[in-house]
Amino acid sequence: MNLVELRSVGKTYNSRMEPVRALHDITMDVADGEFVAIWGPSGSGKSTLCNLIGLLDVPSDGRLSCVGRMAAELSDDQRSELRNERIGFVFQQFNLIPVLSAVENVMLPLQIRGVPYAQCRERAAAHLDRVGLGSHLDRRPDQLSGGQKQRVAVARALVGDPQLVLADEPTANLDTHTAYAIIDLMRALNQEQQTTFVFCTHDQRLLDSVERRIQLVDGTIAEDTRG
Amino acid sequence: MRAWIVIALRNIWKNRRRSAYTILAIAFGYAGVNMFGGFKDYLYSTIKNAFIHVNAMGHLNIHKRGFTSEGRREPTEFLISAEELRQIKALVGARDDVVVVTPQLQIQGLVSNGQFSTVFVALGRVPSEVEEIQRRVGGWIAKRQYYTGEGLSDDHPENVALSAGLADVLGVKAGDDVIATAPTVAGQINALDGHYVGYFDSTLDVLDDKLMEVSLQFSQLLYDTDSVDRIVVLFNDDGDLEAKRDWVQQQLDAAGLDMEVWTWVERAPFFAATERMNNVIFLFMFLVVLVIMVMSVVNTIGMSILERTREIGTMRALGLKRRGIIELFAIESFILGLLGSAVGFLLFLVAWSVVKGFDPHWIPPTYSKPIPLEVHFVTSNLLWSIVFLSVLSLVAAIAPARKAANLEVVDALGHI
Repeated sequence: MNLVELRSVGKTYNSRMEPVRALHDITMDVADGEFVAIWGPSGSGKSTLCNLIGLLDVPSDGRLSCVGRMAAELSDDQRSELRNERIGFVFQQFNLIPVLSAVENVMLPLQIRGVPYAQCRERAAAHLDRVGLGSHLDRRPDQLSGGQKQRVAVARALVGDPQLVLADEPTANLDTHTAYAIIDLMRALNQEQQTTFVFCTHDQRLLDSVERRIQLVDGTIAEDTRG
Repeated sequence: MRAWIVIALRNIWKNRRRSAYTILAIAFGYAGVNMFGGFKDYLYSTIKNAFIHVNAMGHLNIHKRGFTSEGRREPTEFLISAEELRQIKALVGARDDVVVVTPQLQIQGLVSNGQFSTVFVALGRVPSEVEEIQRRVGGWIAKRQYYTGEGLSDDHPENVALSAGLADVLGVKAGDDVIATAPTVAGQINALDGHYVGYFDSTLDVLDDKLMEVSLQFSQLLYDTDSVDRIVVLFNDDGDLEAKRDWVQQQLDAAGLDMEVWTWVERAPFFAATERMNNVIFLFMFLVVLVIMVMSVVNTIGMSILERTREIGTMRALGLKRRGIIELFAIESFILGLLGSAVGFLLFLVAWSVVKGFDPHWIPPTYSKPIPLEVHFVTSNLLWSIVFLSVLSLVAAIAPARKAANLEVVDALGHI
């Protein structure tokens, strides 16, 4: 079953000088449980594609369906609800809320959903334990290393039991050892829970670990390889 | 909601210097507005007490219909007869909350020391009933000695008291006699000896050389009448005067008495004028405070939004709706308003205690002697200010918060 379907999707940004066509004629599917990387040089449109798949942005043309819903038919609030309930995000800069502790950061998606506080804390603590940070629950982001921050971000992405996790350059700011640890962690989660992972990356370490690679060049798919 | 409150409180603490400026701006505004509000309340209560109690004008005045219009030219044609007075006393006095119903007769004429004469205005009143009205005064006025020397008494209707300025003009001392001359109701000139027993301070400078206080009997003898021109009614509380007036008016109308009833506010136009003037000053001051406070809050929240744009993008990506972003910053702003009001309350307490401790005096416009300057502790004002300023802080944050909420998620996430 396809979790993500794109048909002739394009994205154009209206800049002051002239419209910039970031993506054009993208047709692709991502099946449930896949571990996929979208890669390509800077400016190839991989982050734009990730944003569209994650319903953070809407396509200028074409049809995009994510977790069974057509993006064009959703209001801003409906897209927010869908992101909260079905999609997890991991960012290159970790994007943790600096004034919240690790466990509070992981609790956020559940609190946005309206889950009672005690339940949020219990689930967040369990997810932090799973990513190896069970003893760092109350540490603030500035008290954690880069790898630990990214583990918190992974726990936050997974705490709501999403069907799809989108990770934009998740290993770019990490040393090799930490990067492999994060990759192994996500791979294990993918295999244990069948959670679909879509990465935007140009990190070879990550590309070597995925089962499918979609190469973007100048806003269009140049190659889609498996294995 | 708990998560947003935690985020708001921690961000306020994180940016504590900036937050402190906003909190202090709100606090000084709160303290300033409430100090002036307390002073305003003191002014009102002073004027009110002076009129109702010290001048013994009571809560309501009953006059013959037309007395306050045509009667200003020919007051003696609008007098209340002894029989009407008896009926009115019986009707109005039947009400449980009525404390005093007392007649008065204003007279005017010439007063002389035997060598020199000057104009006087006097209210003839029943001394024991005036004392009863004055006895019920509250505040600093209660401690003030009204007469220097002796006051008036029911047993000596010939006794008169003069305002300090008039006593000075006539050059009389306690125990001297003065002669009051005035036309009677019938139009003949009449003269009466008065026994000067003491003087009082006129609250109004302009009347200080013209006022006399006499007994009702003295004024009626001088005017050669057993009528009065007003009946003063004092209740045991100030509440709902309009309803009380309506009740009295209904009783009089039902008895076929052609009278008009005025509340003390209507008979004291300077009270309304002072109130209007103070309200304008208060409004002006309040607007200044409001503008400073709103600008301060908008600046603080605006800076916070600018610094936390990426955080806003993250929260939106995690599924927080636009409305949630507005709530997040509105809560932060509300807490700033609440903290500002709390600090403002402490500042007010300090300033209020200082004023109370120093017991300053001042001479208000048209007054001849210094009176205590007070700032009243008006609990309702203090509480409402907290609510108002906190809600205003919240409202002030909505415009910048809406702007933040309307950012595209990808733009917010890409913000550096």
